[in-house]
Amino acid sequence: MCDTHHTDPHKGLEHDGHDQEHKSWSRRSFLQALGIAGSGSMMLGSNMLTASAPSPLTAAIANSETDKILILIRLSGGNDGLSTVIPIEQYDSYAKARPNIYIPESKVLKLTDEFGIPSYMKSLQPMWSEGQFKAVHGVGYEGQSLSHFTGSDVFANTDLTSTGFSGLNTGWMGRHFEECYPDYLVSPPPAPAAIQIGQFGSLVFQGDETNYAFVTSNVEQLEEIAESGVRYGLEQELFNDCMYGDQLQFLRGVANTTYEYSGVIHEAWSRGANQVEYQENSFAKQLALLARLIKGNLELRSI
Amino acid sequence: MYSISYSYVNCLQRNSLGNFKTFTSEIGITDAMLYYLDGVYNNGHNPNENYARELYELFTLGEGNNYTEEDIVETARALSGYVERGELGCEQVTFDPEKHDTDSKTILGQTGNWGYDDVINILFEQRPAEIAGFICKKLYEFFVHPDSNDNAGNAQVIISGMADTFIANDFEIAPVLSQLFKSQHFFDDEAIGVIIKSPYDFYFNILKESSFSYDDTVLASLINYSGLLSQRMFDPFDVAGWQRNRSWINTNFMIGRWLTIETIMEEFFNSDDEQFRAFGLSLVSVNEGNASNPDVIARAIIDFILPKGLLNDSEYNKAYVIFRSDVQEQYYEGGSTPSWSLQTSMEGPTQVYLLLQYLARQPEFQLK
Repeated sequence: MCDTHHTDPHKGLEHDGHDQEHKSWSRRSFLQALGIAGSGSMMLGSNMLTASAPSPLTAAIANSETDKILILIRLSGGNDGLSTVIPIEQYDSYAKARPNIYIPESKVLKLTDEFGIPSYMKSLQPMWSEGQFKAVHGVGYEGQSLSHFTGSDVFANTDLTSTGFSGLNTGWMGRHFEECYPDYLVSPPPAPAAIQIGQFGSLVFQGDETNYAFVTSNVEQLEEIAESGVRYGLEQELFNDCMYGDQLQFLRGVANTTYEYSGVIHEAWSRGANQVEYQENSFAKQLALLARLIKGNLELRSI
Repeated sequence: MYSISYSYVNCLQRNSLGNFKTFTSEIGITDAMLYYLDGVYNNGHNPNENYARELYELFTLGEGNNYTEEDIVETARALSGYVERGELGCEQVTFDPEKHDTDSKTILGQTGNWGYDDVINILFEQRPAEIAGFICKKLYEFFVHPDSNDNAGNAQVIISGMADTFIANDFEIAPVLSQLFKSQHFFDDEAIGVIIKSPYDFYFNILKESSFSYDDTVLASLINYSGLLSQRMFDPFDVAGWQRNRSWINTNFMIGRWLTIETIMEEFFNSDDEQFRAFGLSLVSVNEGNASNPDVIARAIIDFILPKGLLNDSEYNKAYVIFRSDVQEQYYEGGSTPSWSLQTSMEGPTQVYLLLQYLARQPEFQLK
């Protein structure tokens, strides 16, 4: 049971240090280090990405083949697309259809003869002339679903006939990755195919077999993982001195190790290859797997 | 038709809240025990000590607790004779007086021509305090706290009280449990959430707590999953039984727990997503307008599912974000007439589902 009179003399100091660490490693500096300036979903496969603190995650990302990065930012909420990229060729119809919220003609900056943007988006205008700003206009579908979930599922799935829990649960990127990595579950690529910051509710990276994104609930969690390499903090001051704190610290540790080892084991698996053929029975398969892991330098002390 | 399994389970069920002395007497001559610990080979001319040793060490007194090797040898002789096996599994093992050792034996200081019933009587008459202490410690560690050796001796005081009740009631189990479950100590904050769920706890606690509907197929999967996580009913690793607590947890079992609970939740959702809404609503007082506040509902669910909630505010906030999900902020912020509520919003079931999936992965979910 519990010894409530026990006090740890180092507790206060450790706590201060912990707080300082968090101050100096702010959300902003993390985003700068990652090279992104907003949250949403981002896909990475590049050595352009450098974080100040080395971690298994950033190292894995740095090892992938191409330097092309696609960052998907999903803004949730309402937005009038026609007031964002304004069809100036049909300005009268546009203004008539939204009498209270249309952008006055005097505040529209021309991009082409057909389209303009509101003056508050003027910083995008030079990007347009440099060819760095493109827009896909008027995307939508008939009979729009008013459910938040079904609505966003439609956009993630892009298949109007089978969406949501009642239909095919896949996203357009997930199906793309399924083609890129037909053997993903058995031999996944060394770096995560995608990193998703935000809910695991989103379908975008969901394929038939699995979700292709390394998912974190929010950017703070990704920051924690990238910084510490672990999912759950184990600092002593987080826990009380009683059995509950002790058990929770133990379980957090095992959860961390589980995440960590599954990564390490996979790395070894990828490095190793069996030199001889094994028989097709379950014991031989176990031996084959162990041989492969050993060959891949998985530093096991005992099996 | 005779069945070893039936008579064994039947013995456990009849005696689990009955009299421990009767239980001890009956279990020793079930076929399950006679075969498992070699009673069927305990011939008076060639005694087998296996059961006699475990009767004292594992089942009643505890290792080396006021008995000797000589007591084991003599007890084995007194227990001899249940060796008429017949056809395994079809015919009940019976006592053959010819195979019983009829010479004099000295057990726990008592000398005579002892047989099976005498062993049980002598044991409970000569060692009541040892039995009561050993069994009550097991009950305490099972129901209250895995560590009964605290420095302050609080647990020992409780166990002694239970043991006194056990002896005063002639080894009836129910009065002891009744006293324990009604004690203030049982509800102490420090005794909450300190036991690591066994695989059966892991699956069946959430089944009971959620009141989600299930059928025999679901039960069969849960039983199968428990087996994968090393708890196969009536088949512990060895005669000492499951060692419980942290032995249930390693990285392999952790992954197993995560993946299986995820599948189970998904099946519940696919079979009837509205039961997730109903579960959420059952935990808040709708009259107070609480069903329109997502964080209040999320907190109620978290605090109901996890024995002591989440570790700190930061962890709560992560879970709130999960529950708020894709519903836009303005639907939560309608002042006196918010447009989101768990009763009416079509997203409600999904939100509860996402939160439960998230909670089921948290380290706290392993505790009860």
